[in-house]
Amino acid sequence: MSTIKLLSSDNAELAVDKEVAERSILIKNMLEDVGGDMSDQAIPIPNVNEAVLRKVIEWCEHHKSDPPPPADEDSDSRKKSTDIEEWDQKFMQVDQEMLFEIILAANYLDIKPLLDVGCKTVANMIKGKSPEEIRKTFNIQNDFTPEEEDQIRRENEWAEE
Amino acid sequence: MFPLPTELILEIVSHLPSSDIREFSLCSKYLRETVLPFVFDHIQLRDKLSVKAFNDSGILSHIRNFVRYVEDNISMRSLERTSKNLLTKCFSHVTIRCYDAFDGVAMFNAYICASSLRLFPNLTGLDIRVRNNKLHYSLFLEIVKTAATGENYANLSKLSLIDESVTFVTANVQMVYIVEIDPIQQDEKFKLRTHWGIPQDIKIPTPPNLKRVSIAVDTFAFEFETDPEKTLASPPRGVFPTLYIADKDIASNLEELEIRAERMTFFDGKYTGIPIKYPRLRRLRLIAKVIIGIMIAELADRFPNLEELDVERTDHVLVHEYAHLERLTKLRKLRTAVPTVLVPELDVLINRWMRYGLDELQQVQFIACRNAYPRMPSITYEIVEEEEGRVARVVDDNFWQQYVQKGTLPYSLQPKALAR
Repeated sequence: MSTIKLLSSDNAELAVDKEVAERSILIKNMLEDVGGDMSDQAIPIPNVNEAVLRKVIEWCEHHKSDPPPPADEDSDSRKKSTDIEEWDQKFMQVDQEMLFEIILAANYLDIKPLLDVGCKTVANMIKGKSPEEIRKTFNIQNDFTPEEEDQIRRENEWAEE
Repeated sequence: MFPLPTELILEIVSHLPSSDIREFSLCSKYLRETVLPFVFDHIQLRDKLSVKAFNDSGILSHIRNFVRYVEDNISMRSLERTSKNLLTKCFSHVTIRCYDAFDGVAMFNAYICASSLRLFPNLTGLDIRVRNNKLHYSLFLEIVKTAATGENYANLSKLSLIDESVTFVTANVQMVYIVEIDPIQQDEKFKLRTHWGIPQDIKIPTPPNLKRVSIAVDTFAFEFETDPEKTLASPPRGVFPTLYIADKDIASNLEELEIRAERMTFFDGKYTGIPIKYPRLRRLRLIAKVIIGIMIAELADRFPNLEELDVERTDHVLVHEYAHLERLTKLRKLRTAVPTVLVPELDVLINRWMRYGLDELQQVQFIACRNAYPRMPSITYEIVEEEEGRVARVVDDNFWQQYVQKGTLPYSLQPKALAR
């Protein structure tokens, strides 16, 4: 099995199985473009630091033999549900900064299933909470005046249940 | 602070139910602005007050461009990339609901709501839900007619018509009176003639770009042949609240059709007119309590390019009804009731369909009759390539093992009882 090297934004070189790295569509396409031979040269991943990159690789390692997602993305349920498998749940038990970094990295590296897990994790943190609780959870500054907030609540009443 | 770009916030929000999205939108100005399309993706117009809110001076006038309905199972995919994508690909959807109101008020509200549709320039989906026994079809019809005067009516690609108290007929028979002069007696005679088409005053104008339709009514028939004698006694506007939709208009573009009805009538090949074909219809879902006539023969005549057929009914299917299935040559997916006679040989039945023309078949699911099993257990076959060719194999079975092998099959479904 061939190995490739990835270079994080903070100049750390990480060796990864090609098969594992190819969970990233970005890397996969890149390797295809250069004809697959990157054995001596590290691929720069300028948007992702070492800690995050290690985390992402850990995820790819665990999911390397997952079947590809169904081509027919009829599965509305996949989107609507926020169910996360157990291993992924544990994997996502990180501080918030890391969680957002993982989502950004998954988006940049084009790893759709990881992006999904990340977004579902955040969605679960929002679910069932009041605006004040959500603000507290994510440290969001409330820039509405009480009148504005009241107005928006009234606007929302027109949205369909 | 919510340190993510817009498209990722939308990605997160797409996993949330609308009640949570509404709360989330109250957190900050930036988040409000970002998720606004999701908050108002689907609105409901009930009365004058709700329309007023979206008027030029109303409190929601700034929102009306966002009125969109993020459609199940198609558009979610389009959310994946950027928010620009999101805004161009999302559907817009409005529901007009008139329930349980005093007739005059219901009528008034319905008019106001229907005429307000012009407020929503991005409208592509419209639900009309009416429960209205007293005014017959007229309330329903007037809503559609009023909506049809709006410019954006032509953009509608999805339409739901839900009035469970009416009969819905896609008719192409019209009764007209013509004058004939008897040359001998020089006498003017009125004579009744049938003509293709339906009377203008009871025709629902069909949006030209309609792709998906769902209909929920009491009684449904694809076509309705009027008996001149009876019609004379009871004109079309008479006793039965009946809705008509012009077949020819709707047939050319329609891709998906869903019909729920208490009773569904098929003509079983006895229909003397020429059934109108729906060349683009790929997906058909029928949910009926009672089906009269033999369904599949008529479906094969009307929907030659059908790829997915899903029929839920409360009873079993007589095996000879399947004799016409082979004519649906493009069929890929089938979900239907378990046939009575062939219960132990379902795979034989499927293999025969494939031998006689269903080359594209990929999956067949038989569901048990709902009368006997309210939870509708099923048995699913998938078509696999094997040495001897394409064959059906069971992939999921919560019917056979549970009922048939345990011998709890009701009498009417037991092969022995049906042996000739």
